[in-house]
Amino acid sequence: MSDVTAKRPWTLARVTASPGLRFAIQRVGYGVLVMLAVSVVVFLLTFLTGDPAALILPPEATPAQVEAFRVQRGFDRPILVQYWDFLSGALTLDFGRSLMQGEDAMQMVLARLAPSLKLAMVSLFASLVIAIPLGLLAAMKRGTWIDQVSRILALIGQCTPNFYLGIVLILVFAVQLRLLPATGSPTARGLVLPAITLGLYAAAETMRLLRSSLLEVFGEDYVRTARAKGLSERVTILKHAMKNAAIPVVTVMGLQLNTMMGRAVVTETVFTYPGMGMLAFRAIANRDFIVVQAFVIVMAMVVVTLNLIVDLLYSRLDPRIQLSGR
Amino acid sequence: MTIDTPPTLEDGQAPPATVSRTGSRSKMRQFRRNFGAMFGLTVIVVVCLMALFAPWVAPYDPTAQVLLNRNRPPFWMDGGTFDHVLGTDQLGRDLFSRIVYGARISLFVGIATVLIQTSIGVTVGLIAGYRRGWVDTLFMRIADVWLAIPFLVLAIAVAVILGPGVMNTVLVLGLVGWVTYARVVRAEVLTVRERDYVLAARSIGTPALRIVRQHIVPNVMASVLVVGTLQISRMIIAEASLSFLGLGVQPPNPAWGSMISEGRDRLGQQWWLATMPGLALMLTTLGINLLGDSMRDILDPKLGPKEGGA
Repeated sequence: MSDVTAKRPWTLARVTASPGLRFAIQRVGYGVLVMLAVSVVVFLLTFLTGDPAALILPPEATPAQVEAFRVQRGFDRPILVQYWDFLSGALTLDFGRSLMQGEDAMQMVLARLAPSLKLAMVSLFASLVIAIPLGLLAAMKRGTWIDQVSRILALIGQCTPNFYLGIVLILVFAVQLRLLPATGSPTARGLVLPAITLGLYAAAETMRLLRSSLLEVFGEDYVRTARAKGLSERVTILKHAMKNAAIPVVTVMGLQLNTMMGRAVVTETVFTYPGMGMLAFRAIANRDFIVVQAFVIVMAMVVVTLNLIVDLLYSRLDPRIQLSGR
Repeated sequence: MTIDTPPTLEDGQAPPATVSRTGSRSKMRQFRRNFGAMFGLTVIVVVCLMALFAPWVAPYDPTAQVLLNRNRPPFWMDGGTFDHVLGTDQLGRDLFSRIVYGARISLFVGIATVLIQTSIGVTVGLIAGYRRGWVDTLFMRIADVWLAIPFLVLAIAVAVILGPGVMNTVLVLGLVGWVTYARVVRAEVLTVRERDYVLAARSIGTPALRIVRQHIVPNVMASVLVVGTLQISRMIIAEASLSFLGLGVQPPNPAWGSMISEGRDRLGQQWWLATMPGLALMLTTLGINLLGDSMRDILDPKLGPKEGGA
């Protein structure tokens, strides 16, 4: 936003006139719709086996106990009434109490949100720190051994299941070398191994993508012009090529964050890192379905928000993108 | 391998597009000359043979516990013998035999899951792409919701409800992962349906079902094959992840994921218990990815480097 527009008062006309703002509002509204739909999915999941009461209660519960539980929890009411209850609960972030701890399920999940986000962000940062120099080098030295080695590294990075990578890292750096702690924590030392574990897959993907999109950009007119103008190779690549090659990378980052949040469950479990994933893992082991539900909703909320940020960032980065939607 | 590779090709890649590019024979030649493809194929053939003939390959019953032979190291370490090539676990089960039988579970889950995903995804993609209109809009919105929940998280949520087990794992991954195919197929159909021969067929009144079967499906199959191959490796990893979390294949069944999970507690003492099954898992997915990547380069150059998903 320029200074001139910032001083004008906020009117509906101005909001709808600014394409950037209209785009932002559209995306936010769309995110809300997606979250509503996610809530329907999460709600319906409970009925996948037909009877949520049987799911929550231990298998040795008597039929009378199951029936009493159904009435107590309201599972005997019409499904639409139940959904309304679920939704109004969800809107106030109330999913009910954990079946094991008896605490508010949403509170339990939200308390773990910050460490999980911290891990995801550090991992994303780590992946960029690995991927950008390697991708740049591979594209500049195309066809040489540097390109080959980075390609092989990327392939291995993409094929290694992250829980396995985590275990190998623990084995080498914690058990053998005793350099870093085997359990993760949201501190600098405790984040190193989990962040590498979670970030390597994304790093491999980003590296491959950056390499191919740089190679594409190198053939463009503006890069040739920049070179013809006699700009140094560094300025050409950093100011002209990288800026344009970054666009597909930013797009994929949205998807990567999505994948990363999913993989974080496993990574957090490997390192017993105190995040949402670890909580979900404990909840799974205890058949604590309410906590799993709250976890899925929070996870979807995080992903929708992150994608929204990426979308908005993306339209800023590339003015050619139609603001009216994808 | 090295003899018939032209000296100009340094990185084992396919030669630049020439006149003969479209011929199926030249594609076969391209494939044979591609080191990655051949390496991937070899790994996959070995793993498949291992899985098929597991009872003959594996020297021991994978679940037989011999408590006298507990915690033996692999043969190259002190105290290791060739009786148990990769050693034994804390219950005296032969690690090599368990890895061999684990290949069965991984491949079965990978292939069965992908079959379910393809049948749902291709059908939805064909209908959405060909019919357009509200069916298409509805599908795209469903796909958006699906993609708002990370794959593994949704799989976990469904797996918690359905309960563990091999068949349930296949069902969970199959139900959760079809969106990738549907999107790829839909995008392909959208371009194919506007081609001249399809328009011609429609103009002479060919029934929609027949157009789809005769003109659309053959054009979409290359992409489906490529995505399907790459997806098998992702599903094998997803199964291993679920098993690792205790939601997939249950002990005493020798799934690689649950073996890694069991071995994880003994990293300080018997590091091989977790690392060996992991190595098998990594090699298998590496082989599939190498094969799939080169198939994509050769069969379908216009497919992007990666579709989202697991």
